[in-house]
Amino acid sequence: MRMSLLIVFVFVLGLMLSYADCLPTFVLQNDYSQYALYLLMLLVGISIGHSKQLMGAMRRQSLKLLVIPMGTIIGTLCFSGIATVFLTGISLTEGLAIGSGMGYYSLSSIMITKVKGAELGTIALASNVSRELIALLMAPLLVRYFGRLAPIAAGGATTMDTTLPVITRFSGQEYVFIAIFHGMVTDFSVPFLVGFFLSI
Amino acid sequence: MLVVVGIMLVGVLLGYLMRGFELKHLSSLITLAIILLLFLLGAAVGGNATIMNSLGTIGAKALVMGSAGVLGSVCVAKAIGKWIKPPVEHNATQGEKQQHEP
Repeated sequence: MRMSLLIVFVFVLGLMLSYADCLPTFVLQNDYSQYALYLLMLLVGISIGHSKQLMGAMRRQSLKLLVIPMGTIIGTLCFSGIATVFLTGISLTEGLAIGSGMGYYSLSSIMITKVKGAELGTIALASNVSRELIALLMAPLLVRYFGRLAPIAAGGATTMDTTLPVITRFSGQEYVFIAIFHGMVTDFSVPFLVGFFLSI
Repeated sequence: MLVVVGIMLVGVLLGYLMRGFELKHLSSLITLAIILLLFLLGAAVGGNATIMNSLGTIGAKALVMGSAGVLGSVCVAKAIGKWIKPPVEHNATQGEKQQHEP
C-alpha cells in the first residue's frame, strides 16, 4: 500500500510541477520517459535472466495460457459495453471500439479519430491512458482483491512493455512470461477489434 | 515496441551471465526506475495543455471507460486465476508471502 501511494504521489508531483511550469524545459522537450522505460526493461530482463527457476518453466502450458488474453478481451468488451449505457454521447459500438484499445492508446485513438472525429478520439486516448495508469498505480490493490493475474488483465496490451515492471514487482517474477505472452496476443488483437467495431 | 523487447532480451542475457553473483539491490533499482518513469509520465501529462483542459467532461467519460475496461478484465482474471497458476510451483508459497506487502 505504501508503495502504491508513493507511485501516485510521484505521478501527481510530476503532473503538478509540469503544469505549474516548474520543470526545466529540456525535461519535456526530450522524451525521457522513453529512456526510463528502457532502463526498467533492462533491469527486468536482468532479473529474469538471473532467476534460475524461471527460464524454461513455461513450456508445458502455452496453449492453456491463451485463456488469459481471451479473458481480458471478453471482460473488457462486456464492461465497456455496459459503461456506455451510463454515458451520453457514446454509442455501444463506439464504446466497444474505445475498449478495444486495451490500453494501446496511440494506435486506437488514431484509428478512432480518423473515423469518428477528434472528440471521441480524445476520449479514446484518455481512456486508454487511464487504463494504463490504473494498471500501473493500482497493481498492489488489484493483486490483493482480484488475484495475481489482475495486474496483467488490467494492463491489457501494455503488459509486454510499460506495465511489465510493475507486474514483475507485484504479481511476482513467475508471472513475467504470462505477462509478455498476454501483451503480445492482446496487442495483436487491437487493430482488428478497433477496426471491426468502427465498421459496424 | 521492438526496441523495448530487444533491450529486455539484452537484460536477460546479462542476468544469465551474472548468475554467479548475488544481485541484492535489483528489486530496489526496479522500484526506483518505476518511480522515475511515473514522475516523467506525470510531467508529460501536466505539460500537455490539450489533456489538462479536457480533464473535465471528456476526462470523466474517459475515466469511466478506462475503469470499466479494467474492472471487466480483472473480474474475468479472478475467475481464471483459480485454474491457471504460473509454471513455477516449488517457490510459490514462499513468494506469496514475500511479495504481498512490498
